[in-house]
Amino acid sequence: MKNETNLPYRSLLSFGAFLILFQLAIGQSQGEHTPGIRGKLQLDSIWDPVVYLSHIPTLNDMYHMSTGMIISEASLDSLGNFSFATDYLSEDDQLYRIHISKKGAPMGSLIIGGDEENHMFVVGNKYSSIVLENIPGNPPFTPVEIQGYRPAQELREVDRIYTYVDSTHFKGSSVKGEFVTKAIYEKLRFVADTSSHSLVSLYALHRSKFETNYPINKSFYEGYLKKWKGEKSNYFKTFRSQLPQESSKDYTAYILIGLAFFILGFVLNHFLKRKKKKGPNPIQKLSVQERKILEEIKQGRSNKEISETFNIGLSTVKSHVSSIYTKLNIKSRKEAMDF
Amino acid sequence: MKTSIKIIVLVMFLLGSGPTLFAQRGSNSNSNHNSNHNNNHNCSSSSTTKSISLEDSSKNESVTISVTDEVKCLNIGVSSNISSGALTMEIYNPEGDKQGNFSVESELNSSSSNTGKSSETVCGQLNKTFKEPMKGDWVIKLKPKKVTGKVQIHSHQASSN
Repeated sequence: MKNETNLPYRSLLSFGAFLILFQLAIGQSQGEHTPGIRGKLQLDSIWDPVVYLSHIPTLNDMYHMSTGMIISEASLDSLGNFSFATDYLSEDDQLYRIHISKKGAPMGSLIIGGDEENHMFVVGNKYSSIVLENIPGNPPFTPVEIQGYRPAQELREVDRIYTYVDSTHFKGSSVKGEFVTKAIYEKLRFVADTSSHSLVSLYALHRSKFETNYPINKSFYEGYLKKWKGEKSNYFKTFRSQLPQESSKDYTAYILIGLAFFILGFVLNHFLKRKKKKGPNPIQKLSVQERKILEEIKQGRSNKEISETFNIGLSTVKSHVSSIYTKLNIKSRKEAMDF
Repeated sequence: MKTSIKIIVLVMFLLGSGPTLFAQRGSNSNSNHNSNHNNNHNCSSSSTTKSISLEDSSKNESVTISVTDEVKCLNIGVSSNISSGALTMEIYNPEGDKQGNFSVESELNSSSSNTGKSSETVCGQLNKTFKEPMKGDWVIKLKPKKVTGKVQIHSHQASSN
């Protein structure tokens, strides 16, 4: 009987508990999907409890530090929680760097490598929700788990793979290290090839030392560029500019140079011809009588025939012929006929 | 009776195996000791530190670290602290492959500092360790553009003779 009277209360209690749990679940779910970059960082006492967010405009700027790149800062609470609002970020995915500084150091501090590496990279946009949490220790960002925005998780995975490159320098022989490093770069290229997210893909390729790999693996890069042909972001523009120019463009340059030389030669030749034409005609040096005699010589007439034609003395004809030879700079009758 | 037999067997076992265990432990201890001893005798290390002060400098500088065959581990640390200008630092191995880089830029230039605006310091630091590094000259290139600040280059080489 007593149990029966308690039944409605129990039901009510159960329903209330269910409602509370449901609200909690909804709240947590909404929290995970609220746009922003937030999380929990547990830091050693050497670090200032402030987190900075920087925009990385190109992949070449990943290791560039200036305060102008810092777009936001957030303080850590006593538990290490922090939160960046992201409503001012770009609608497109961009690369960002989260970093911390040591106590007493300027906020624009970048430490690369070693136990005090002070930064990590994330990809996101104004709508993405990124939640990160580290495991206490050094380097502070190496054991970081990311939840929420999928591309940010994929980027973290790329970094996790890349971390092995440095660790191979510490473990094993140099030969083994080289072998492992090559395998890691190959793995990064595989990620670049298979990732459906353009920035994550390019990030992986950038990490794989593409500059040294390009000459021996050109077809891969040609295929890669073709795949992301439509990408107009600064990240891809910079990447394209870093690759050697296409061979067809080299030929175009050679063809253009050749064409320029051809035109120059043509113009020069034309100019010289005109100059030659414009030079004094040796026949003009001849007198009227000498020209007439030259015409007779060209007809194949002898001196005697010429003297009879013009009714002048033979010696006079010889004198004219001699003068013609001198003025035309010739030495024989045959040359005079061919002139 | 059975209990006493067990105790006797246990005592006999301990007596029998004791010297072996002790000998084993002693051997390990000696081995470690020898190892350390050998390390102390056959391994040497050297460190160098170079500090460079830049005053509105735009002159490129290179610092060379010579590495011999005997070097088993090379650690290079470069830290910079600049109050104006822009500085790029790159590390190259003897084959000319870039092994690391960073750049720092202070947004306040010298002229604004002169006008009384508070100076802005920017720090960059890079630490790299190379196991069995390539023999030859490792080069650290500094490319400053109107930089005022300090750069410190530290290298540590551990080698076995």
